[in-house]
This record gives sequence, structure tokens and C-alpha cells, in this order.
Amino acid sequence: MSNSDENNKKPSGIEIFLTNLKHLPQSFKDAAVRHGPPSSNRAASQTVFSNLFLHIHSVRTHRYNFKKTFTVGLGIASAAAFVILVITGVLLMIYYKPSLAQAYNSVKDIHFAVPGGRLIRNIHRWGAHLMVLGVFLHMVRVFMTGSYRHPRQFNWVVGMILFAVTLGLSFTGYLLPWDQLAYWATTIGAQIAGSPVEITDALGITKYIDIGGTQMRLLLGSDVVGEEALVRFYFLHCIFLPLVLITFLGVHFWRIRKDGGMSRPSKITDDMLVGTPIDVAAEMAFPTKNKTYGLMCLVKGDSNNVKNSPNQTVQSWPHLFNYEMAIFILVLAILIVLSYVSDAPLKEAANPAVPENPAKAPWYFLGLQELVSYSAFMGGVAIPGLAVLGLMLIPFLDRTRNQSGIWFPDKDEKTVFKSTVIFSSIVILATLIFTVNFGWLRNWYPQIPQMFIVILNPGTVITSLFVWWSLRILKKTGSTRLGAMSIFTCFLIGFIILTYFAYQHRGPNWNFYWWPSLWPTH
Amino acid sequence: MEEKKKSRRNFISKFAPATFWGSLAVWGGSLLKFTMPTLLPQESKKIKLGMPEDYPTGTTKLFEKERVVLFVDNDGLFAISTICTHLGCVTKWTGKGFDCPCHGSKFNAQGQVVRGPAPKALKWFKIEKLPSGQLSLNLDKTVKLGVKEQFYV
Amino acid sequence: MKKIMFYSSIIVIVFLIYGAVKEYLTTDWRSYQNQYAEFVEKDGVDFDVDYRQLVLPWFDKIDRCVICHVGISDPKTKNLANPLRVHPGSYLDSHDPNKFGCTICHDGQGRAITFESALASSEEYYWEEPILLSPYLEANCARCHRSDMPKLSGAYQRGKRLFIENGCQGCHTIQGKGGALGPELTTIGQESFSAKRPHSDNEHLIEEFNGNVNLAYIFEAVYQPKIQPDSSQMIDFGLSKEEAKDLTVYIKSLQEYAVPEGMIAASGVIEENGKDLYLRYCSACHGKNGKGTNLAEIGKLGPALGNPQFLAIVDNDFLSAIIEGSGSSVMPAWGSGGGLAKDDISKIADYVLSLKNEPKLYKEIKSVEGIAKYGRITFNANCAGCHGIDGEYETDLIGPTLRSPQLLSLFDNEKYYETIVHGRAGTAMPAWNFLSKQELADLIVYIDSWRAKKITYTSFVNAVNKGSSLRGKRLFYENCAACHGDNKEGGIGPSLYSKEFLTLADNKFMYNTIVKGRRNTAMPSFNHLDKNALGDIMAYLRDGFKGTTIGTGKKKIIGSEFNGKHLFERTCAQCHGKKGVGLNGPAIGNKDFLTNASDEYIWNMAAYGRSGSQMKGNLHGQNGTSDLSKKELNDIVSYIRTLEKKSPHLNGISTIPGDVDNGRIYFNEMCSQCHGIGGGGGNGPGIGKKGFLQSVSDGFIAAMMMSGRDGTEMKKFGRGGIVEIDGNTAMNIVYFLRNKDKSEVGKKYVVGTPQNGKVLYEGQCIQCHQKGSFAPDLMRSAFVKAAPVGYLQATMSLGRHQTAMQSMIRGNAGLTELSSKEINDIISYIKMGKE
Repeated sequence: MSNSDENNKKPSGIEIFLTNLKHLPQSFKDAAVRHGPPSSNRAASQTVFSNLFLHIHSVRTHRYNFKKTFTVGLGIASAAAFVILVITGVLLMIYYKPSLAQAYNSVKDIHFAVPGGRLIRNIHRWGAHLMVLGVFLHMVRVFMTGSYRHPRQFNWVVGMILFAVTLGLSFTGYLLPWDQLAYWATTIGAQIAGSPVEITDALGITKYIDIGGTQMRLLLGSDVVGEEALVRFYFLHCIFLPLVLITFLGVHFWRIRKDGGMSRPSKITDDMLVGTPIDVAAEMAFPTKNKTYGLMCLVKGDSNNVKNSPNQTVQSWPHLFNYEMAIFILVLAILIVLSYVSDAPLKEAANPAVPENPAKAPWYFLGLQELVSYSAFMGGVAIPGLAVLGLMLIPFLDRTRNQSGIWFPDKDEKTVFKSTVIFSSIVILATLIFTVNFGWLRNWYPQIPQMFIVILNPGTVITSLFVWWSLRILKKTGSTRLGAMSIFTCFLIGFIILTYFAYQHRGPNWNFYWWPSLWPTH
Repeated sequence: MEEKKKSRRNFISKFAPATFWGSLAVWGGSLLKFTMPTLLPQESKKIKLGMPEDYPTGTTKLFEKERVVLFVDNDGLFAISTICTHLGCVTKWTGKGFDCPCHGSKFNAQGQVVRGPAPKALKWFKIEKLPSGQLSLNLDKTVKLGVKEQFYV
Repeated sequence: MKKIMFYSSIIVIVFLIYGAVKEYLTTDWRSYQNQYAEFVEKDGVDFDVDYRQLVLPWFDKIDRCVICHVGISDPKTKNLANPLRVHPGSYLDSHDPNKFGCTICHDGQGRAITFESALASSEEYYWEEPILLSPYLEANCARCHRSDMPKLSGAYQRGKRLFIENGCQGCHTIQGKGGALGPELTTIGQESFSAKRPHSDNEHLIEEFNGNVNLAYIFEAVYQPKIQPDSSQMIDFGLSKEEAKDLTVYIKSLQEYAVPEGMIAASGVIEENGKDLYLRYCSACHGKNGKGTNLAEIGKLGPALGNPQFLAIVDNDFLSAIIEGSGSSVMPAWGSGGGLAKDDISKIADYVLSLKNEPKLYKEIKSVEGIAKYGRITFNANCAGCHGIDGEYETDLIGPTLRSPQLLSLFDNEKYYETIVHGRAGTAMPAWNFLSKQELADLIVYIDSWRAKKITYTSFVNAVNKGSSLRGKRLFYENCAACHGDNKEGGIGPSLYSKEFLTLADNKFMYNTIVKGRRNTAMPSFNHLDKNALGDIMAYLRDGFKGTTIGTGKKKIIGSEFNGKHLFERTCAQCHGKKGVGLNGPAIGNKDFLTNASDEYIWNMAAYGRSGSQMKGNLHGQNGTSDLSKKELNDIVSYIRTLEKKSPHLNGISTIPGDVDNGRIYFNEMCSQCHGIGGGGGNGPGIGKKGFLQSVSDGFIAAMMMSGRDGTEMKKFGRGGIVEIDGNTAMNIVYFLRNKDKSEVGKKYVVGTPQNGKVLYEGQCIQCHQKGSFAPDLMRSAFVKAAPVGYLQATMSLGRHQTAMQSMIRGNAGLTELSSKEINDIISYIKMGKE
């Protein structure tokens, strides 16, 4: 072609057209991707910032973050689960019909007659469980490594919102199959939303301010779970909550980047980086390890990389992306295997006349259900509400700037953690043993006003003891970090034990049984 | 031994991305298959007509819901679809032929195209005799244009 | 990392491919369809192996059973193994699978496409309608065949019979009908297995019923009702296993299954007869034959409705009222709570009444020789409480005096007997058919002994010969003129001032008519008059008659009965009524008349008429109503003669025309004081009640009015009575009684002293009838409202055999000896303020 140019012979229009046609694949590729293959660091960097999906990552990632024991990939796993949930969820919407008459039948059809329908539904269900678990463990990891601290306080708050929205998605999705399990779990959930009526009733102001009733009607569109509730839950599950989640997830990712990447200790020695990928070129490019630089006068305070010179970083492409791809496909593989192992439950069609016995919530709400069995308001609204609020506020109440990004950086934390685990286990177990054997106020004084029970029930007792314990730690050690650590640990252990207890030892009529095999057959 | 391990690691590193994209492709394929309906929620396409003696020569009967017209002439019974072969509009039986309101196709009494954009003649459906002696119109089966069934009473 | 990526990817690929292979190549239905495709290929038929289903939007169902059962409509597959075999029987001819699908009959999970999920025969499939096998399958026929269950459904039919005959609906409600003691059964066939399941000791039943928890539960409930905890009140009926299974089939069919209107085979209500209704709703407590049951299990006692003394004193109205709303704590109110329609309740009451013993026929009694003195004992033991000792008149008796001459003359022994054995429904007069033949025969002989000595024909003839027309005129005026007119010109009775009549009516004819009377007509026997008085009346009758009495003649007249019947109906029936029952003209079909009158008498009357009356001569040339030949008259006479043998039974039949409104005015003015509003009864008998009206003829009522009943409060209303009414008025009153509306009949009232009654009640009744005691609570308003005074009077007077209720009236050797007045006092206390 260059020959013809040299000959200075004007090509005919047809020739130009044919040439362009010949070059079509290459020119299309050039237009889409404006750089060469990521063979050099520069090209790889270009790849990252010129790609919409990749540019949310920093171009280089600190080697510390590749330590397998540090993040365990929980955040990425949660996000991967979410992506899989979105894909399978959108597909399920093709066959699912959100109406009272059709919902159950359409889920049956998905199970029986849609090609691969059973697999897709199972993946969706297992994905939901995995996402809740992932988000929860991710939160525990972030807390335990002290990563919520400056400058990541706000991202912690966003994380808490994401946690709540995840639970909301899970709860709203529960109703859609319209089977017995769905109907009664949702009925109970809606009643919990309505439980502030306990307080307003006790104060005699329900007539004027009916918070509980308003909440419940807002949720159900009616006073009972019916077609209105189904449509509302469908809307929440498929449109509203996913949009909220995607929005905050964007903020969450963006803040990771803007808050200086994932957390890590201020001093990182080479022996802490054993087993992580290494970029020799970078090592050589920055011989001085304490180079500081700033963006002239634009930024106050330290810049991102002030204390961590780039010599400890590697190119995000391909190291980080491989990591992400691996986690994603691992999650998918786990879900597919689980889907073959066990089908998503679909019980008999919802029957408003016959309650499930026991009507158990999904596992992540079981701990609350145990508390709800005494006071719906305290167990279902006040205590979890306060817990979430308290968690959100932790970074603002504990403002120490110790080492972050390390599991148990000093001996104190380890000691406090151990003693708190023992203390909270004893408190919870003692309370459970006591209530199982002796019952609670209502069993002794059947006429007792509900207000007494709202104030004094196992939930409030446990919570008060936890608060007392952490205040004691706070006073003794003078460390807000240790105080926060102890209350967090208390709630964590409480959640685990209560969940286990309600899952394993509660049977019909919410009675105590050693094993589900001992349940009476009605 | 060491060498072998190394070569396996190299193999895995080399093919891991490929298997990644491959597995995504397989999964994507299964998702696509998922969207393909296998069972169409259609009612039975067999219409019970009753006994042959209910259809004397000269009968014309329109089945509006099923979109088919049944005729009886001296040569026997035959049923013609009223769905236009152009773009699926429902044609109107005028007494002499079928007129399509959408794009002006016209068909004669045998369903052959007379005018307009329709590419083919209207479908003819199969009329069967059940073991009980009753007649049944099977909309799943078509017959060649001009095939009329004689059912001697 | 790469390792994780690599191996995870491999797992994803392997599992997805494995899944695809499993789903597309190795499913059961594909192999079945391949098999079928091969089978039909031999006949040159193309068969596509593909998903198949029946879409049935009208049932909100999709049945995919046909994905395996591809050959159900193909008779050629009858030798193949299931699932390819053709559907057995000829069901599919009438039940097009494209219209009905499979699960409407068979249940099972229609949407499933694997064998186990389709049967769903275990709870782990979470499907409430697992497949039904024979015979339980029959239950589903009732989803569409609501009232015309096919005959072939044997188990269903047997189960239904068991359901009815064991009175299940006495405790269980179905679609708003039934008792409330047990749980409602309207949708028991659709109960969720989470809600209703066999006891944990009976889990093996679920397996026995092929995993169908609902069936197992129903079976257990009828076979071993006691096993369920919560001290179920369900009675163990001791059914055999087979019976229990049949019953299970029927109960399984109790569903509210949504089926479009057009697909219901027949939705009409099944008309059930009174017996079935009784069995269905009442037999659980009151026994299958009305013998009563003692339901110790639920601490309840169903009284024996078949008790003869109970049945002897109740009528449909009272039973219906009690069934409709007993208001007792034990028996439900079947009208409001039980959901029974008025018609059904009435049918049940009729059935209960039919449990009475058939009354013994008079013929049977006649064959027994009665002895008057024992009859007297029987009378005083059973009857005197109400009717007075020896039947003599006393004040404040519950029953009327029986010993009045007029009554004795109007009622022959048979009539007395009829009243005794049938009673008077709705009054205190029981049906005494539970007395023995001997007792009845004694009673009749005793009553007969009250009659005045009969005037013989000879003494009658003697008296006629000595009669004085002057005295006779006064006597005629007193005794006869009310009907026959002041001057013998006739009224409701025929004219006696008639040449033709006097010519024909000789002494014999007159004797038979006057002394014996004409039963079932207004002509009573005047047996109770002195023979000389009869002679005087005869003299007055014949006063002014110039001719000679030639007698009625003896010649037998022979004609065509058939022809005569037509002529009679055209000519005579206008006045004499069909079959001669009597309208404006006398009842010439009357047996007594025909025995008395010879053929010639009738012929002459018909031919020449009776001057002074509407009866004109009908012989050709007589200018009568008709113009008949002699032969035609012969025909008519021979027809009339046939009526003698089949003399129409006139009791309870209205034969005379009248004016209701006129009758009502006179009745209210003159009779209601004693007989109650509309004849509902007061201190006088309830002559407006069906029971009375059915047992007497118009003539009887009219005659009673005209002549009164000597020795009782019933005065004479004819000539010389306290009020003198004419014959037409009497007829109007009778007509009113016969034709009044039921609602016009007032409740019987009694004149008693409640204060006195209270003392007696507390002294005599309260020990047993206290609230909560074993005897019924008499003070509950629904009962008091429903119970007629007569019922209360009779119960207290007679007591009730085989129960703790003893007779209270004097002379009955019961618990106590009260007078009629005292009984009335108690009743007025009970009724006080409740009506």
C-alpha cells in the first residue's frame, strides 16, 4: 500500500474503500483500545486507566495486600457473589411472575421445566448465603485488623450500609417463591417491623403515633402478607435495593482508592512480604525507600504514598486482576458445586391458615429470632438497631491511630480478645441455660405488663452486661481501641452462639431440643 | 522432579486465563439456554368438531379464537388458517376470499395469494377422524393446499 | 492464584457439562418417549421427542404427566408397560385430557417431570395433593360431579351412606350445615399435612396410605378416633377397617375445589328424604331408630324421640320449632346455627312422627270382647285426669267432657276409637295407640255404655201414631229449624215441606234418619230426645200433607254405572259434589243415606225433584235442570249405588262452600272466647288445629254448633240457644275453620294463676328441671315458646314412660296428684312473660 503512495498515484475511491475494509478489524481494535498489549509497565498502566471497569483500581497495588492471610479475599468474594446474584437474578426474572396466583407455580416451573432452571435458582440461593457470610466476615476482618481507622472511617460507614442492604436483599428475596417458608418468615419479619407498637401501646399513644403500624404497612402495603406485599418485595428485591447496593458499592470501591488503597501497617519490612509478587523494575526505580512527595499545595497532609514508597508495589495488571479473577471463578465454582449438592428449598404453597412450626428465619436472622422470642421490639428492632448504629460510630469514638492492617498488633489486644470471648460465652450460655430451664418473667407472672418485659428480657440483660464489660475494659486499659474491641467481640460471640443455638436447639413451638431428630412429629 | 513441578506450574500459569474465559463461556452458554423456553404455555391445538353429519355440504364455520375457517364442499372438509402469511395479522373471510387489513394482501377462497405482499398461500390444517367417530381439527398439522377430507356418514 | 483460577475453572466447566448431559440426555421421559417413538414408527407415524404438557388455564393447572404418559389416548399401546400404556377404561371418551388434564382426578404434582416428584408421595416433596390411588381416587369425582356421583363409585357411595347413617353431621358442619360439637369438615379433604396428621404412634398409616398424610389422618380419625390427644369428643363408631376406608373416600371428597361453572357436571342440590336428613343430623344423638343414645363420652344424652308417649303428643309444628332453635345447651339450634332450611326441618319432623306405631285398626279391636267395668278403670286411670271422672263434667278440665248426649249421638264407637288412637295433633289429646287391644276394646265398650237406650222402631212408630203436631212445631223449631228452616222450607238441610219427599219417606226411612242420624253430615242422631218428642216432630212434619206415604220402594234398578258416572258428574255433581260428597245439596254419597234410601227413592227424587227446594225433576218433560231419559236415570241411580261401597271419607275434607271473612267475624265474636284465636284452643278445645279438623267432618262441626254439648260449657248456638245463628253462618264458620291461614291460629292459652303455679312448680318440678340438672331446662325461652300448651298439659298429665318423667295428674298414680286446674296454673307460670 505504501508503494502506491510513493508512486504518488491517487488511489481510486474503490481502492481506498477496499483498503479500509481490509484494515477494519485492526482499526476497530485501535479505536477501542488505544494502547498496545500490556507488555510493559507503561502499557499495563495505560490499560488500567483507559478502561472503565479497571480504572477504579489503582495502577499499582501494594505487595502487602496480596498477603493471603490478610484479607483472605473476602471483599472480592462478596462482590463476586453479588455479580453472580445480579446475573442469575436477572435471568430468574424472565420466568418469575410476581402475582399471588402465579408466583409459586412459576418457581415450580423454574425448578422442573426451565432448562437449567434448577441450577440457576440454586446458584442464586447459595450466592445469597455466601454473600451475607462474605460481607459479615469481611466486616469482622476489617474490624479486627483495625482497618476502620483514619482515613477509612467513612468507608466503614458505607460498609455498614452495604451490610444492611445485603440483609435487606436477602430478606426481600425470601418472600418471592411464595411457599410456606417464605410466607411465615416474612410475616414474622413484618411483625418485627411493627413491633414498636409494644412501646407505643405501653405509653398509650398508638392512637396518635403508630410507628410500628406505619412501618409495617409501608413494608406490606396492607396489614397482612398478601399480593401487595409480594409486589412491594419484588420491587425492593429487583430494583430498589440492587440500585442502592450498586451505588454504595461504587462509593465503597472509590473510597478504597481515595483512602490510600487497602489498609496496611505504616512500617512494612521485607520479611512481612514473603510470598507476595514482586516487581523488580520498581525496586530498582526507587532506590531510596523514604522518598516523599506531595501534590504541591493542593493537598494538605501526607500524600498517599508518603510512608510507603512505590518500591513495595506491583503493577495491578496483571497481579491484582488475576487475583480477582481467581476469587471470582472460585466463588462460582463453590456455588455450582453447592448447587449440585443441595437444592434451594421450596416448600408447599403458602397457606395463611397453617403456620410453619417452627417458622425459622434464615440463619443470619436466627440469633435475632432467639431474642425476639422474648420481646419483638427489643430483640428485633432496638438491640440490632443500636448494634448497627454503634458499629457505624466506632471509628469516630475510637480515634487512636495505632497500627492498622495487622491482626492483633500487640499483646494487649490478644489478651482482651481472649478474655472477652470467654466472658461473652459465659454470659450468653448462662442466659440460655437459665431461660431454657426456668423460663422468663411471663412464665412466672403471666399478668405482668409487657413494658416490664420490654425493659427486662434476656436480650437487654445480655446487652447491658456487654456494655458493662467493655466500659470496664475501657476504664482499666484507658484504650478506646480495646473498649471497641471488647464490645465488638461480645456481639460477635453473642451472634455466633445465638445463631447456632436457634439453628440447632430450637424446635416446634420454639421449644428446646437437643437435636432436630428429637422433634415431635406434630 | 523439581523440573516436572515447575513445568506443571508453567502450564497452569499459561492456561489459567484461558480456562477462566472458557468456563465463563460455558456458564454463559448455560445461561443463554436458560432463557430459551422449552414449554410453551399453549392450550391444546386440537379442536373437537363433532360428528361428520353435523357438517353438510356448504357449511362455513369460523373458529374465531383458533383463527381458522372450516369449509365443506362437494369434495369434502377442509380448514384454512386466517393468519396472513405476510406478518401474522388475522385476515377476514369475506365470503369470497380472505382480506388482510394490515398490508392489503388478498387471498382467494382456496387461500391462494391474489394480491399484496403475502409470500405464500394460507395454511391448510389437517382434519382427522377419531376412533369414536368424531372429527377433530389438528392445528399442529398442516396439509397441502387442496387436500379435502371425505368422511362418509 | 493461577492454581485457584485454573482448578476452579475446570470445576465449573466439568460440572456444567455434567449437568447439561444429565438434563438433556439421561432423563427418564426422554427414554420413554424414545421407546414410544420406536413403537409408533412401525406404523409409519412420526413422533417428536420433546417436552409435552397439558395447559389448563381454567383449573389454573399445567399437567406434565403426558411427558412420560405419551400413549394415554392411543389404544394401540394397551400391551405396553406403563407409563406408555393407554388409559384404562373409557374415561377419556367423556373426559378429554386436553380439557381436563390428569391431576383434576388423580392429584399429584402436575408440574413435575420426574416420577417421584410427580407422585409426590411423601412430605419431602412438599406437595399437598400427592397422587391418589384407587379407591381414594373416587373422592375426586365429586369435584365436578357435585350431585350426580357416578354409580361406579362404590367405595364413595358406601362411605357416603356410612357418613349419613352415623349422623356425622350432627356434630360436624359441612358448608354451613351441621352441628358445632366437632370440627368443621367443609374442606377436610384439602387440609394441609402440616396442620392435620395422624398421631405420632400412627406414622405407619402414612406409609399405608402411600404417603398421603391427609388420607391417613382422615382414616385414623374415623378408625381410631380416640388416639388423638386433646381428649377428642369424637365417638368411636367401631367401624371395620373396610368401612373406615370407604368412609375415608367420602370424607376425602369434602373439598372446596375451584372448578369453573361450566365444568361442574350437575350442581343441583340433592333432595334428601326426611329419613336421610334425620340420620344425617340427628341420629348421632337420638339413635338410628329414634331409640335415643347415651353419649357417655361427651356427657350427653339424646332423648328417645321414638318414645310412643312423646310421639303421641307432639306435632310437626312443635318438633320443627324445637329443631329450629331449641336454645338448649346440649342441642344446637338447627335453624340458625345448624343451617337447615325450614323445609328440611319439617321433613325431619315428619320422619320423627312417622316413627309412631301404626294405630291398630278398629276391625282388630272389634274382634276383642271389651268389658265395660275394666273400661271404666282404664278410663279413670288414663282419661279422667283431663276428661273428668267417669267422663262427667267438672269445671276447668283440660279435656272436654265426653259424656254429652250430642257428642254421643254424633260419634259412633268407631269415631270415638279413631280419636283415641290418632289423638288430636297440636292439642293435649295424645294418640293412645300404645294402649293394648284389650284396653282399647274395654274403653270403647265403656264409652258405649254411656249412650242412652236406643229407641226401637216399634216404639218410634207408636209415638208417631200418637204425635201432636202442635207440640211438634215447637220441638221442630228448637231442634231442627236451624237447618231445615222455621217452616220446614229448608236451609243448609234440605226442605222437608215437600210433597215428593213426604210421599216417599215412610216411617222406616224417617226412623233411620232421625234416630240414627247421618254420620259425616250435619244430621246428627236425635237419639237423645224423648221418643214422644220424636213422635210430635213427625206429626208436625206430616202436618198438612194430604197425600199418602207410599214408601221408598224396594225395586232394584239396573243401569250402566259407567254411563251414570258421566251423567252424574254433568248433572248432579254441581250441587251434590263430586262423588256425592255434598255441596249446596245434601251429601247423597253418604253411606248412611244410601243404606237407608232405596233405588226407587233415589230414582224418584232424581226424576221428579223435591218441591220447595233447588232439586228439580230431571226426567224428560219435567223442566228440570236436565232433560234425561228414564234409562239415563237408571244409569245415574246405579252409579250412586256404587258410592255406598266406597263412601268417600269425609273427615278433614272441606265439602261445603262458604265465606271465610264472614266466618271469621262470627267465629271471633262467638267462639274464640273459649276456643282461642283462630281456634288455637283456650279453655275450650283447639278446634282450629289440624289434628281436630282432620278427624271430623264439616257436618260434625256444624251439628255441634247447632246443638251444643249438654253438660259442658259448649252451649247450643242453634234455635233456642244462647245465640241463634242460622245455617249459613254455621257453614261459614266451618268454612273459616277449614280455610283459614295457618298463621291465624293463635296459641292455646290457659287461664291459670301463675302465683299458684310458681308454688307448685317449686314444689314439684324444680328438683329435676333445675338448670344443669339431668332433666331439660323448662325455663329456656326457645323451648317455652315452641312448646304448645297441649304438649305441656299432656306431658304433665301422662308422664313419659321409660324416662324419669312421672305422671302428675290425679288418678294416674304418678309422682303427685294434681288437678287439671293446678296443671294449668303451672303452665301459666312457665309461660308467664315468655310469649
